[in-house]
Amino acid sequence: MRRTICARAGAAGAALSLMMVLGACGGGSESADGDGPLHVLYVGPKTGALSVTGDAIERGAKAAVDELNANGGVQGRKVELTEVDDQSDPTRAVSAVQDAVQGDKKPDLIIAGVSSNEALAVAPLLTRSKIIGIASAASPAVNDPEKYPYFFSQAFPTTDSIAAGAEFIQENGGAKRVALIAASDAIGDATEASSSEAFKAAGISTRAFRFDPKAVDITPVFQKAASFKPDWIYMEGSGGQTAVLLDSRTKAGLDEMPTVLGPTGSSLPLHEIATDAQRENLYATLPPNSVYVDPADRTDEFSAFLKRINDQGKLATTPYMYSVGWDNVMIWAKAAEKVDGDITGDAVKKILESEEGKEAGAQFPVYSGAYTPDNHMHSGANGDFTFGRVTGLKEDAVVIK
Amino acid sequence: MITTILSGLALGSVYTLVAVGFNLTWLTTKAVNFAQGGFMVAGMFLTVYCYHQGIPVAPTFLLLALVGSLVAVVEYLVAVRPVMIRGEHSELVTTVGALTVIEGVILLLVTEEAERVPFFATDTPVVSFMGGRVAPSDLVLIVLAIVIALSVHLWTTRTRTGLAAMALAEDREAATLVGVNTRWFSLLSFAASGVLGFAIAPIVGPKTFAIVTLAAVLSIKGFVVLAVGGVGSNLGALIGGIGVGTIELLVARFLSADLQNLSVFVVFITVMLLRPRGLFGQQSERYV
Amino acid sequence: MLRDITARLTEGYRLGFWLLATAVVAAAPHVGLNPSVTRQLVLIAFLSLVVSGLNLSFGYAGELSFAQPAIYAVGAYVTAAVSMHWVNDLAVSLVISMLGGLLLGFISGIPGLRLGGWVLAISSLYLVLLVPDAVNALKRWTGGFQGIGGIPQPELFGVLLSPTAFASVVVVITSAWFLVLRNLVKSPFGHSLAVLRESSVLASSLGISVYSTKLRAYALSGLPAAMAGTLFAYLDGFVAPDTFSVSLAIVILAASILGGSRSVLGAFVGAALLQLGPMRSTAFGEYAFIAYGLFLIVAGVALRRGLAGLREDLVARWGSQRRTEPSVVDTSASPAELGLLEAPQVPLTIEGVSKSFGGNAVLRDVSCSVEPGEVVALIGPNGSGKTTLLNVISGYYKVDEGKISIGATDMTSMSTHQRARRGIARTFQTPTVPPLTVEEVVTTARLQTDRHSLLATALRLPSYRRALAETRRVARSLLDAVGLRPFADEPAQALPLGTRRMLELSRSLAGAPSVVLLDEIASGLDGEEIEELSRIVRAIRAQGVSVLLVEHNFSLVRELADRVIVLSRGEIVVVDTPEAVAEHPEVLRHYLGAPVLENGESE
Repeated sequence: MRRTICARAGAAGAALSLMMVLGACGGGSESADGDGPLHVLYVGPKTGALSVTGDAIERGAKAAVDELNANGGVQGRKVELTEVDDQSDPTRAVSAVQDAVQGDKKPDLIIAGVSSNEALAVAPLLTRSKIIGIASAASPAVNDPEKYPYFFSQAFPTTDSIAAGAEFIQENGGAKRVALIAASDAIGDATEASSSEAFKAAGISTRAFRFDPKAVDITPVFQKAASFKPDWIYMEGSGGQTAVLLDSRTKAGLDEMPTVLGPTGSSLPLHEIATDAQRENLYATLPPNSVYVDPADRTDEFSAFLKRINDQGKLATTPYMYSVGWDNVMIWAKAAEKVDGDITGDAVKKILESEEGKEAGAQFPVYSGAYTPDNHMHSGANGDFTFGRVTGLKEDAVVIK
Repeated sequence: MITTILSGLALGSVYTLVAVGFNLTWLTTKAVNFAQGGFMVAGMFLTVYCYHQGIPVAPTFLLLALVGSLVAVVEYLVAVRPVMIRGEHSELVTTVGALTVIEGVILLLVTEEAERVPFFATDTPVVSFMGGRVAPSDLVLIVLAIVIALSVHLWTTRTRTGLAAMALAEDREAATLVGVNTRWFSLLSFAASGVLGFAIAPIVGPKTFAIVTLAAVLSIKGFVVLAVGGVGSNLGALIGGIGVGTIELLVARFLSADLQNLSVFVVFITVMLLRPRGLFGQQSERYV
Repeated sequence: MLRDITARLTEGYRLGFWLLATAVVAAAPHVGLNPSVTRQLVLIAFLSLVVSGLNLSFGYAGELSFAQPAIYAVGAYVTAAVSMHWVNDLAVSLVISMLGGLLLGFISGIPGLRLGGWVLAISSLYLVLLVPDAVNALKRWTGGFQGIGGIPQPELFGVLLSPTAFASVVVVITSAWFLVLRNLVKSPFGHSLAVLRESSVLASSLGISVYSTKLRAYALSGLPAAMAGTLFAYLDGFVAPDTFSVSLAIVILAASILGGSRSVLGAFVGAALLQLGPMRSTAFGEYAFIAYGLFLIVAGVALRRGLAGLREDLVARWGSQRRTEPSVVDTSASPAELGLLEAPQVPLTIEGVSKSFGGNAVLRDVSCSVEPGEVVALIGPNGSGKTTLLNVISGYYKVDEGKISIGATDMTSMSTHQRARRGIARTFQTPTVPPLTVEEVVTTARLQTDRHSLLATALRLPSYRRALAETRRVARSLLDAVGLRPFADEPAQALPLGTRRMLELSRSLAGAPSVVLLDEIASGLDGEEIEELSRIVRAIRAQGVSVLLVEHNFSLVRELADRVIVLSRGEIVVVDTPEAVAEHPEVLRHYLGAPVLENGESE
């Protein structure tokens, strides 16, 4: 009996002392004083499902920070970037953000992950600590300036890409019926939700056919879609699903059905993955910065961006993903540059929501949308997308026909 | 309709091959090697690597067989043999551990967690067959599954070595007394399961794609097929696999893709409750 | 008496210490503990709750089920739905989640019930695979694949909980659960789990229903996971299905084994190590899978009972150093002290029993009976079917033909544990003894007669204490009768063979049986031990119990048996007194193989 009491005492004591030790590390937070460096925290997946995307966004952010520092920083202050791996787990992301907020280097900007999951999980914390967070999150749940006043999404909402797709279909023969094929996941949900309005406005009737994101064979889904007798197919899937979509479409005998592939699915090197037959009637949705632009037509900033990320090393995807990271930093940096006085979350927020922010070119890519006090997501810019049949890559950017 | 059935047969063939792999090791060690699904997925990634390196087809297969047997034997020596006698389900824990290690190694070595596996025989994505459309690799897969399952079945029931293996499964001690070299048999059967898992990857890969998370799913669904067909029975693995795969895709096509996994689960539970030993399994009395 | 008081005091100390520790840790967030550390503490608490659920089914009941992440998911999503659409109260959410956890835990155990092992593991793992499908199907309440956010901050009885208050609540709830778990595990219920884990055959022979005990264990194991789910949902106000994955199931298993699947606090230790490890180093993240996998392999092979179990093993080893003396203690106990007074005196009747195994007839039309107050010996050459007959009587095998009754009750279609509850007790050729003390082993036979409600056990209510005291009194008097009282608190597995046989014998009597089946109980005992055994069997007989004795030791048979049944190749050769049987020509022929003439000469 005594033995077990001693054992218990030992265990409890060990636990308590462990806590004290941990508690000792990480003291109070330092408030960013007027001249010290500005801190940017990137929280994202270095391992796990979205690590390739995470890697690209992280590199883009790093390139942006390097560019800023090379040109004197923000309001003369150096910018420091800290990168933390959240292993694609929203709970970890929150832990990492909380750690940082308690720590010495309280961030001025938090790049909150690469997916809506992470953004949604982190958003409440941003509100509590009044720190600006920017991420490529497309879920409308996160675009809530009342609940999450400090969060700004750099992504284009799915409604935009779908509306653009609908327009493209209209301009290329039109359609009475479009079959929507998407996975039963977050991207698919957004796709289905946005599509009914956009297509309805164009007088097109749609039906959604969803598939298990981990499915090994989705030919039945295409066959079901075929029985709907559509004129066009709109299909969307994350990177790993593109190949599955293409092959199942072929197996269902639908290579000749004109098809639009959504922006996420199009982010892969289609000229490598898809056969000629598959690409014959396949139109990729290409966001800005993924299509090849002639050097003469490039903006200075775009050229600087391209140079930096290519200097870092080989690109794993088109420049688009890297530009996302770049944007996340630059949007904040350009607004911060305009602030009079202390660069606080509130101050930057005000700039971002105003005309002043838009004029500062705080939207580097060629998005024509803007933030307002009621809307923290870019929107309303159908012209931002390019559609076409992918023929290859040139300098890592996509070339289309 | 035919297309769906052909697809289902192909999918079922994948499950059958995993189940046959399970049988091979179960016969001689009474352990179901949960890492079998990992063998296949690792083989797929290795195939992709060889493809990118430009290694021709025959050497690829050879390499796969070699690596497969090596990995399986190592697993046997480290994770299975030490716990075989215990019977506390330790081999459940250790083979799950082995699968996790294999997944970890793959994650460490690859950049993309999901890769396309090119089919070595042809580039044509689809051919017409018996009124339906099917990928050529699927056809080869179905044929191979039937051939392999039947071969192993015949081997265990007709040949001397096969019967010796069955004897081992029945009663290890008795088999030793009769002169069967149990250690050697166990080792060889593991090597065989490794060769099967890795070397079949170039045929399965084009269908399933090389995806890390697939390893656990294959092991789980492979086990479902094993249980439904009857543990130890290769005929059962064949019939069970074909049945499960076809049902799965028919449900997806005519009901809803969301019900796919659930339908397999329902089949599994139903068979387990109504006929616990599986379709072709052995009835076993309990021993006191 | 003194022991009881000491035990009560020790328990009092233990409880007091536990409460103190809980109070200190719960207060820590309020007195300046770093919020990051508080968060880690809270996350560790969640994981330890889930792991403790696994410990219940795996460590204690001995069956590996991977259902925990699925139950965790149920807790989290139920809480999200309830708090967002109905009422936001931590207590309400907890209760509803726990009900869900009970239900899912129960259901998840059913497929593997008959077949256990692999079928349970795979079907429970499949449940985890189905979580995303289920979440997707119930999109309206679960937010589907992208997860659900905006779960409100928790309120408890109308009071909004700040993050620090919430952390304290988490600590209190976790501590309360572990206290309940400890109470459940160190109790007769916990002992029944230990028996089940040791051998389901043994469990049935003691009247323990294997199915119902397993199901109870599975159901209970769902409680902590559901609680953890509720708390998890409130932590960040966000739940996504990716959290509840096969990978999490593996982490839980690793944590369980690391801390010791049979140690109450082991769940906490394992959880702490696996929560803090990956957090502290990102490099670890890359190697995480490899590390977990290797650990599972190593642990599965070497550390059978984890770090805490290592201690147990050492204790057992040291314990056995102090070799116990054979039971020379000579207490001639009276039959009354054997506590068998309650058993009805009924005969055991076997009529026309036949049994074949795959074409091999092991028992052919066997009929016999054992009257109350009679010792019948069953002898025969090896392979004659003696053990099979015993197993058929116990119920482990179903007869092909024939009828088995105890008194007027036909038991032929009853299962083993049902027969045990009707008054059939037995011993086994190799004594099976779970890792309990000698006294506890005896009490395991009283699990059916002295029922303790789970609730009373969990809360250590007075009704439980009273019932337990009575059980222990009966056990101790039985130990007295067989002279094992001095060893009451020794680990039973450390006893030498002879003493273990006596223990088995006294255990078989503890359930107040009408019929006792003894399977070669004298084998391996020396002269003195056999004397002792005889004395006890005679006392049992005097009690009016029917005793069927399978024996090779003919002199013991001669001494004890009123009648002898000779079995050969599944058939009864002769039934007569020991003396008559010893000279019976048929018997000699079967044993010696040569025909023997009436005058004792062989040809």
